[in-house]
Amino acid sequence: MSVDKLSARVSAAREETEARGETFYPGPSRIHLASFPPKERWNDWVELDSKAWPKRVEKRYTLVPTACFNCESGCGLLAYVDKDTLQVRKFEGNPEHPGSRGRNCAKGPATINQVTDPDRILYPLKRVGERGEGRWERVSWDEALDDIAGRIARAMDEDRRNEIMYHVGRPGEDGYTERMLAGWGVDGHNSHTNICSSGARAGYAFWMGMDRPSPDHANARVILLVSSHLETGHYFNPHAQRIIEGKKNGAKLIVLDTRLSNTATHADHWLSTYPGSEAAVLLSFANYLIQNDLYDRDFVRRWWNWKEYLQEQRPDLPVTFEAFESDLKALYAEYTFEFAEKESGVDAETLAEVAAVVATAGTRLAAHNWRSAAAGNMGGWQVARTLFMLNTLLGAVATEGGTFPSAWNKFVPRPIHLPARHPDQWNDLTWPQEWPLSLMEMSFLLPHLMKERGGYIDTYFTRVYNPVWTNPDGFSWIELLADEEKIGLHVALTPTWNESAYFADYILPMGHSSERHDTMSLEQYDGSWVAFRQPVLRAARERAGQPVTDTREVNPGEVWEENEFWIDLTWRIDPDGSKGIRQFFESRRSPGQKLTLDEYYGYMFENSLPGLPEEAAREGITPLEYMRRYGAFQVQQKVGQRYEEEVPAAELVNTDTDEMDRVFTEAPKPAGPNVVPFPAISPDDQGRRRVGVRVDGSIRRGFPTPTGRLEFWSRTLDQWGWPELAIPTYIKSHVHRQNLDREEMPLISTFRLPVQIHTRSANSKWLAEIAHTNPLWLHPVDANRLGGIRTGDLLRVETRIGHFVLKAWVTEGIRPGVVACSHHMGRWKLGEQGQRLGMATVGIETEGSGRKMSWKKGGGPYESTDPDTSRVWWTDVGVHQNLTFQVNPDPISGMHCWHQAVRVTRARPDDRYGDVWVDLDKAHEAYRKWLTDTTRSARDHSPDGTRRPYWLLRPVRPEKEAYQLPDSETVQA
Amino acid sequence: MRSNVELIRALGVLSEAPGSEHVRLAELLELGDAPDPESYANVFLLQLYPYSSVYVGSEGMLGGEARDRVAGAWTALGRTPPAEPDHLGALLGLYAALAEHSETESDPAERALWGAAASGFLWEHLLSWAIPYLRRFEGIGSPAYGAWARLLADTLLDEGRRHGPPATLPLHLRCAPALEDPRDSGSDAFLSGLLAPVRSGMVMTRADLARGAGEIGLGLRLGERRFALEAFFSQDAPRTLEWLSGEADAWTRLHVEGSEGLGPIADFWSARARATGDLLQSLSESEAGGPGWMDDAMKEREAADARD
Repeated sequence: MSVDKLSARVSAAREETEARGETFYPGPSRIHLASFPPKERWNDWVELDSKAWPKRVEKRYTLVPTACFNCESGCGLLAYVDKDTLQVRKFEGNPEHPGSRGRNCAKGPATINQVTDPDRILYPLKRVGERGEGRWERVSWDEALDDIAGRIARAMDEDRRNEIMYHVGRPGEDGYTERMLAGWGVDGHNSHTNICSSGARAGYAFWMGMDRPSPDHANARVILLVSSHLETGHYFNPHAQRIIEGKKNGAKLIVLDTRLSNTATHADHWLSTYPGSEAAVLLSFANYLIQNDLYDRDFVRRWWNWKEYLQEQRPDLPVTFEAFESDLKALYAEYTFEFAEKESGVDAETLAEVAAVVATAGTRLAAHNWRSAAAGNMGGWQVARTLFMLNTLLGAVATEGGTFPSAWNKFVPRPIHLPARHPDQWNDLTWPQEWPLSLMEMSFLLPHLMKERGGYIDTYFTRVYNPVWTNPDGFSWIELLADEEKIGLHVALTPTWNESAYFADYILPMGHSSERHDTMSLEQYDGSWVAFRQPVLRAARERAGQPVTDTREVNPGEVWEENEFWIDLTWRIDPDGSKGIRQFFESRRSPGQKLTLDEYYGYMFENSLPGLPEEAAREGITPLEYMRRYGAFQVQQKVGQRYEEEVPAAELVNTDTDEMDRVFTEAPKPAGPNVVPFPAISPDDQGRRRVGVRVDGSIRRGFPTPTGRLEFWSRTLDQWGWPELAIPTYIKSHVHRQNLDREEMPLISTFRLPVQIHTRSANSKWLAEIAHTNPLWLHPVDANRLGGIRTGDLLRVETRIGHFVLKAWVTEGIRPGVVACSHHMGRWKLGEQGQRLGMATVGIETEGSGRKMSWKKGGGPYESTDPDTSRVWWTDVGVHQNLTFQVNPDPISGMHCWHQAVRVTRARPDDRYGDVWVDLDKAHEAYRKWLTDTTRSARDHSPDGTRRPYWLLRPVRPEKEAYQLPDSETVQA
Repeated sequence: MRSNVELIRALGVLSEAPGSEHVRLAELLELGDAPDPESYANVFLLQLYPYSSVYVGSEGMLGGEARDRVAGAWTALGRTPPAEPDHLGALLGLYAALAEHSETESDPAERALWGAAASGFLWEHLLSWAIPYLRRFEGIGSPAYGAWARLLADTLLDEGRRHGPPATLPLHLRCAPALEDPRDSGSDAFLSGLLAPVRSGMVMTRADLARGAGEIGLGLRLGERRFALEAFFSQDAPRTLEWLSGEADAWTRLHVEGSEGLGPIADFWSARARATGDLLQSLSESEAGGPGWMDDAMKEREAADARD
């Protein structure tokens, strides 16, 4: 056929296809094939062995995908498994992963360091002698499991379920352990989130119900980051690559950051704000938009809960949008650029210039705050809230180039079993009454709560978590963990030695990213995906025709994975099923048998990932085989504005619209395969579920908030004792100048280094070589004021409960009057056990309520099975500053406010590098002061006799009856 | 709308990884069987890399100045260059968009400008290299990709005829240095140049090397093409020169015979292949007893391999 005729045929076919509403071409080009081994060759990939150079020795690999475990991003990795030895030789990026797209930061490839770490824990260990003494014996998994299961079973039998606690650091599979604890009937989930992201989560949750932002950086016109952390830490790789794409497309990058961080170095506008003043700056931008009518009026009219605000707060005004606009102008008029300059130290002219840039964003404003200022300051949650206010003013919510709510860009596939009931108890140690609005568990207060109020934890799991080192006030954690009257049994589930594990009764070795199963889904762009973390040697064996049924068969030593561990433990707790919990880990195919992971994931991928079975069928494989082969699947691209979706007629049965335009229906909620957590929206008094909100005559999905709209004014905050904070506003930080003594400065400790892995990088030799110390950032002005301090000089930094000794780094990369010291460094061990590459050997002395830590030996070269360890050229491993930090619990979000008020002086003659000293009495007094001076408890302020607003997100949400405060009326259904 | 635009888009999509849409397109275009992932990987990822920079870049590799020039063209046309601006699929997509624009534009002046842009882009960034590239598909990969290559070559030549021949040789080709004589520049530059199409006038694939090994009875070392070619010389330099000379002659004929309508572009490619043939012949005659131009580095590698 001629070219002309073929052309005509294609044109006609396209018209015909598109007339049916279908897509003719496959969409945006997927060209990007130059950098990766083609997936068709993954089963047999040949490379020259770099170590054999200049000889050309061929190595044959099978390439197996998994997902990185070294931060929250869950980026794709490809394990290069040597076909001759069946050992992993290296990790590179997985081009099939939609979030990371084949790219990785340094932490991903360094997984090989963790796998081959000569000091890693390979077998279950049991304490010998006193807890914390440092003596261990190897035990079998059976012995450990039977012991632990026996204790838990007794606690259940004796109605002591709340004495079981699971404390998680790096999350694994979305919802796995939450479902398990719900199945156990245990309100014992304890996360690290209140030392991490609760501040920002609260700011977002009060606006839109969902507690995370998902910015579409790549398509933004303006990218606005409040970050001394974000784009070098959380979602670093997926976000950084999209921010650069956005910049290449012409986006302007604005960064609020006291330090000249990695992110700030890429900014078009870097605003070095005084710590805690960020909300003031953001409000000045909002005020600029409001006073100059530069906001999206129609969006605000349609989606803000302005009617509710006027009805409740301004009954003197007519309920019209014009009246609201007028009031809005008055409400924010005080937040001038001059006001923001006074608070932040950034001149008003610069702020005006940047505000004008923000105004150009339209619906393409990608804004993000995660830890940083929200995690550093009392009231930090208002930083995220005022930041998202800019999105809501510009209508840049779930738009292309805008900021999406997390839950719409996340997909948690429904598993084979879901517990029907949740715990009917409330755990006061994690959810105390004084912090009824805390976004997550008050985890970092555990030592103080138990010291003050008693309590006993029979079985305490720390799971890839290290509270002694990571949390503030670590000596109080040591005191707690060492006390067998308070902690009956401490089980540390960890792939590596850590400071908390020294105070455990069992250390159970868990796998790194290439040694465990998890599914992951994270909101990193306008789309949703699921990644599959898997034990790569298990997959490699299976490719070679050698089925594996227990991951320990292929992992190093007796390293296990958690999913199989929890299944086994549950069966030992409930061997005959009489407790009713074994059913959640029982096979459907073979009732009465343990659920295998092949069945578990086979079911999930077959039934709960839309599109995957069809995609797998095209390749002639099962969905599980597809995920084992490629490691990730994109469920949806271009999620769009879910809140604008019209509710289909099938869901509108006997509806009722209330005075707030909320629409309720008798139609049941359609069962869906995505079980991502959403806030619990109450039904109406007829028991009908809320299905949407009426907007300009149409019924739209809306937001999962009490009103179904974006909540500019929060009834929740108003009713639970905080009426003055019910709208986005500015709270002066605990390190605001007015709260500091004359010689004190704020210390920023929330930033991390993009090449470090919280508490699991000590023996990652590549990462340690890049970064292994944490000096104090000090501006030259302050260095001169303090007596001509130079880089390398020894300093003493005094917090309000102790001090630490470290070296100075004099730099203009920080604002004068503020100092900073990075997270990650200062790892230590008490004796021989530990990671020799990145841990100093220390001694701890007790002097009354004082605790003193001093170095016995730093890092340096040592002999091991890895010849590289004898080539270590550095001895510094940094200083553990968190030990000297008092707890600063935010009264609303519950976030630990990390910034500390400190005095910096030259070290005294007897000070040594790495010295730490803390007074535990002062530490407890600090807790008491925050408790008495700042909190407003549920007991005094709950509007309905409950402990906490039911609608707010909460892990392992108990049954509604458990929300009832003791001695008060039953909650109305 | 002019009819070829949609055909060009469809052919561009077919240069990407096969998906369900490719089945329908292959059927529409009567390519025989639909392209499958295995053939796609073999053809595009291992043999005939679909990037213009490989064929018009002086290094014969991805990226470099050649890709920068293509990215510059995207920018000059008011488009944001994609991650891989010189991928054949991207080039065809952009050309289709320009051609479509030139025909749907109502303002005559604008229409003329867009037409000139389409014509310039076609000659500078597609016809400057694509015909020799597509000719090489014969015998490589599946019949479907062979049919695709023939159809695309015919379509591009048809487009060229519609626009008329270019006034000057495309910039990529004007900038392209010639193949260097190893007696002057050493063996490294020579071996690299043989594998750089714009220097040698030849598109030498892995499949060609495998065929060559069979034809002249040499062992084929697995590895990159340069490594395999170097191993040919280390095994039997005279016969390798003779075989390569034959390849250059074949390419000279191919450029002359299969490129009607390409004007100075065909002349350029045939001249490059002819010069390569002449150089190889000269080396063959003057170094019959062994390649004196093999430099020390090459000899060292050869010796190391021998020790293994």
